[in-house]
Amino acid sequence: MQSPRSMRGRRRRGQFALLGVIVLAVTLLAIVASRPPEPAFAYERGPMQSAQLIHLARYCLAIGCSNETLRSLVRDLLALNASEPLLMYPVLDAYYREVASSTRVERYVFFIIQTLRGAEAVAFGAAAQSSPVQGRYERVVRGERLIFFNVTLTYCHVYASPFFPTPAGAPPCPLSQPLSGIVYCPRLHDPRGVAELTYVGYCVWRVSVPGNYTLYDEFGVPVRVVP
Amino acid sequence: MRHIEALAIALVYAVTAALLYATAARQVTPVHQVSTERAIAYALLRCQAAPCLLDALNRTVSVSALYVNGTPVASGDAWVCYAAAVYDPGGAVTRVRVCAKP
Repeated sequence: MQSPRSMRGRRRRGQFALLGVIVLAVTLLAIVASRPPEPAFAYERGPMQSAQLIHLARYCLAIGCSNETLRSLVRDLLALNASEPLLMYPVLDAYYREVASSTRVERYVFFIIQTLRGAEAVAFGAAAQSSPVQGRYERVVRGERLIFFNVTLTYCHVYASPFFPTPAGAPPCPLSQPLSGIVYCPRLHDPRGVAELTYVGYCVWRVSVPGNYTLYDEFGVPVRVVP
Repeated sequence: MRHIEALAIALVYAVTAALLYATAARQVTPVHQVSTERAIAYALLRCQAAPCLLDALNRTVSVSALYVNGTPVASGDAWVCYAAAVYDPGGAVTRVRVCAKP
């Protein structure tokens, strides 16, 4: 039989233990709360990395692309990725392909990237298709008499990536290897100021050029016109 | 003794409430970071030169900090940053690092 005094003493010790537990819990909570909060940032990856590769592909075409050039550019980009937050996916392979006929030139750059879903392709396609000559005339340019050929030129880019939407109602791009992606109609210009260019719409240009001629698009990519 | 216990428990309760409030108030929303990434993607598709890309970014996203080739152009809070390499056929490669405002 315990005396009331010893029971009261045990209850008091229990109350102190409970108070100790509460104080400990609050101390732990204070330690956790005093740490700088880690914001729940979710790095979005996909569109920017695909756009970076397509940007690189256009540059490759502008400086004269080959498989060696392209792979060297990819290596440099991935090296930059180590020091800058480009957040690039690993690029498993990259290759360049050109398909040319008498009236059409198609250029493709493919990248195989390793995403969370597995190996996926990011592709860039550029097509330039000239119509048969629709007329010719003579013009004097800087004191020189030249014969100009009127042709209709269709020039477009296609940017394909699993992370890009495929907008409905895009103008058709004359690529023999169909790519599903964003179709873009770049502006064309002639740095020498000899050719005459009129934009018709939907990637179609009315062009007058003195024979075989090279125009440039807004990204510096050369566009050959073969009347 | 009961007064002391009551005081201690009230103090613990007040401190806990204050800590929880402070922790909740410091949370940030990451929504703008997603739009920054998309804005850079759009600018990269649209441009092949650094001035064009910077102009496109200034028009589409509220930039907090901006570094061009490691040099700060606009300095501010660098929460989460994204970078892009701009390849200009008429010039060199430009490194652009963009940090968005929270």
